[in-house]
Amino acid sequence: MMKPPVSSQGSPSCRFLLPLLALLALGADACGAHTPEPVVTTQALPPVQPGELRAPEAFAGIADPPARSRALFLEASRVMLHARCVNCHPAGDSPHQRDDMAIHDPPVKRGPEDKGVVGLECTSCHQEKTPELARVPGAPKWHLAPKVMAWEGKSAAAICAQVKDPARNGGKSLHDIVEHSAHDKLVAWGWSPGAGRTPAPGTQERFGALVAAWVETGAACPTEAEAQEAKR
Amino acid sequence: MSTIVIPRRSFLSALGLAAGTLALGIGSEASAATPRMAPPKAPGLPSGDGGFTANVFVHVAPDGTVTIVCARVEMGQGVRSSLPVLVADELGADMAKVKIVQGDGDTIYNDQNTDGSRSVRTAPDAVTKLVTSGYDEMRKVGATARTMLIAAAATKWGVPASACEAHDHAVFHSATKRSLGFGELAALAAKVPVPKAKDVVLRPKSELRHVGGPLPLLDAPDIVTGRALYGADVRLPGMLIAVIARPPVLGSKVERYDATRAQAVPGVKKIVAMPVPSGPPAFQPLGGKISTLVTNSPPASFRPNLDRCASGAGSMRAGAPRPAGGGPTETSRGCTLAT
Amino acid sequence: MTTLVLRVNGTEHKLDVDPEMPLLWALRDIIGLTGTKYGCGQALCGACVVHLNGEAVRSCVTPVHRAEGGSVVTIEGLSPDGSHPLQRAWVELAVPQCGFCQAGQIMTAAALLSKKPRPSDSEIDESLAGNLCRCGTYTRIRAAVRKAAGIPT
Repeated sequence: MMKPPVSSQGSPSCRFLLPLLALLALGADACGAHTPEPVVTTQALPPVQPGELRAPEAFAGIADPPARSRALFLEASRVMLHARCVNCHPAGDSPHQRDDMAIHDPPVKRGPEDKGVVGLECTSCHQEKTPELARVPGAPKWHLAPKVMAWEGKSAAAICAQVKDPARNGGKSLHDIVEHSAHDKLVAWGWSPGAGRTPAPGTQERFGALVAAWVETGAACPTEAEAQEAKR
Repeated sequence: MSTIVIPRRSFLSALGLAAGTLALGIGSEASAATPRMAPPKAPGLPSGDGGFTANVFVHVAPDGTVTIVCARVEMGQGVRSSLPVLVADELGADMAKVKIVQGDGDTIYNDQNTDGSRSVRTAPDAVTKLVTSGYDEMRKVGATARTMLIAAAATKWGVPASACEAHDHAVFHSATKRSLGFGELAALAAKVPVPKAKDVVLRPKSELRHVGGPLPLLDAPDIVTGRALYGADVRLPGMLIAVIARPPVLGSKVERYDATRAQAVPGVKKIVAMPVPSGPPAFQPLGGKISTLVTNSPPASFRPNLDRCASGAGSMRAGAPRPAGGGPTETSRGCTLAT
Repeated sequence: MTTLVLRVNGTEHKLDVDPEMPLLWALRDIIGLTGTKYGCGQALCGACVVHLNGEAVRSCVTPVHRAEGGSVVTIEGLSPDGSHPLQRAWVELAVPQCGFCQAGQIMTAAALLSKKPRPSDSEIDESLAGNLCRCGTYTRIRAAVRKAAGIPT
C-alpha cells in the first residue's frame, strides 16, 4: 500500500501543536486558515487548496467502494469541521464565533428550543441575510444545532456516526441528509458568510455532491485512525 | 429646553412624603444691601411675568411655579436631582410646583465645570470666588429668596419677619393664622431689597424635608418613557447630519480620497475633508477626517439612510497616510458607522 | 425606494424607504420616535431593542421590510403614561443614570416578563445579558425587574 506524502503544514509551532490538536479534533484553524487535508488510506488524491473541496470525481481512483466512501466523507468533513459550521454546532449552551471559535459575544444562551432565550432570541439580531455594514451573520431561521448534533470536539469519525443516526440527526434519512447538505439555506451561509469571514471550503453544490457520492457508495464511516490521519 | 415639571404623585410617592419644600437663594448679591431697581440678568428664567426673580438661580411666578436653574451638567450622576432640591428645601417650596431648567454655559453661574464628583462637595462662592461647597451655596441661594418672600409677607401683614415661617410653598404667620402662597407674594417680593449676607440664615438641617434622605431621580419618568432628549435626538430645521470617516492611524492625515460612490448615495450633500490638526491628538476628535453631509429633512421630501451613507463613506477609499518611517499605505476603512 | 406600511405603537405609517434601511432609522428619523437609541449599529449593545410582533428585536440591524405587516412597539408605546410595571419600578428604584441604555433594557425586560412573569435571577441575567450599561446600573435593573414581577425582596 502506498502512503501519499503528507504535506508540510508550515510553522514549527503548527507541527508541534497539531498532534495535540488532532486529539482534540478542533481542526487546523487555530494555526491559520488551513483546513485538514484528508489522507486517503489507499491512494494519493490530487492536492487541494485549503479553501477548496475536491470533487467526487477525484475519488474515482479508489477502487474499493467502502474505502472510497470513507474518503468521500473525510473530504466532506473538511466542511463540517470548519469554524463556520462548528461555531453553531457547539457542545455547550453558547454558540461560538470567528475563526478562533471564541465564545459568542454578546453572551447569548441556547435556550429551550435552540433559538435563544426570551428577549435575546437568535432572530433578535440575526436576520434572513447578512447586512453589508453591520455584518451580523444572516440566513433564514438562524438557530443552533441541537446538542445531539454537536460537532465541537468530535472527530470526523464520530460526526459520521452521528449524522447517520436517526435518533441524533433529527430523524433524517440518508436522502434527507443529502438534501440538507446541498440545499438548506442556513447551511448555505457557511459559504457566503460575508464581512470578510473565511468561508467553508468549496461550495455548497460540491459539498452536496460529496455527501451524495458518500451515500451512493454506502455511507461508510471513516475509522478514528483515518480521521486522525486526515487531520495532519 | 429640559424643563421638567415634577408630577406630584411620582415625586412624593418616590419620597414617601406628604409634602415637599424647596429653597431659593441668591448667589451674587447676598452680601450687599442693595435696593433693587431691576431684576438681575437671569438667562433661562421667566421674565416679564410679574413674578419675582431672586437671583440667577430662582424665579417665582405669580401662579406659584418656582423655576430653579441647575447650572452644572447632568450626565447621569444626578446633579439635576440634588442641587435644585437643596435650593427648594431651603426655600420651603413644594417640589410638585418646581420646574428645573438647565443653565446654558454662562459665566454668570461662575464655574460650571462638572467633573471630579465636585458639584455638591465644592463650588466657588459667588462673590468671593473662594471654594465652598455646592451644598452650602445652593442652600444660601434658597435661603436668600426665602428671606425676601418672608420680608414681603411681613411687610404686607405689618408683623416682624421673625414671626413668620416659610414652608409648603407659602409664608405663614401662625399667631394670626394668616398665610400667603409664594405666587401671591411674588410681585411684592420683587420689590424687597436684597438682604445682607448676615441676614440670610440657613434653616436647621432638620427642617430640610428631602435633603439628607434618598432623593428621587427627577429625570427618570422622562427616561423610562423615551421622552428624555439626548444630543442625537435633537432635530433642527434644515439640520444636516455629518458622518465621519476617521483615518486608521492616530495623528495621520488624508492623502487623497475618491468620493464618487459616497456622492452617489441619495441625500448626500457634500464630502468635506476636515482640516489637519496640529499638535497632539488629545481633545481633537475631529482632526484629519473626511465628513459626509446628509440632509435630515422631513419625511415628505427625503429619507436619510445613515446606513447607506456609511456605505458611501466606506467606499470612499481615502488614501491612508504613510507612517513616519515609510511603509505601505492602506485603504481607509471608512466611517465609524461601518466598523 | 418602496412604500411600506408600518404599524408602530398602534398607529399606521406609510413610508417611502429603502426596504433594507434598518428599522431604527425609520423609527427615529422618519417617524420621529427618538426614544429608541443608536448605540453601536451592530446588535452588540441593545440600546435599539423594540418589539416586533411581541418579540425583542435589535432595530439597528432589522431591515424595515421585516416589520411590514407586523406590529412594532417602542419605548414610547410600552404604556400610554409610564404606567407599565417596569416603568414604575424603574422610577421607584431610580434605576437610570445617564439613561441612554434604559429604553433598550426596559424593552428587553418587557419581552421577558411577557413570556416569564416571574423570572429567576439567572433568567433575568440571561435575557438581559446583551443589554450593555456603561454606567453600570445592572444591579438596580435586576432589582427593578424583580419588583415589576412582584418578586419579594
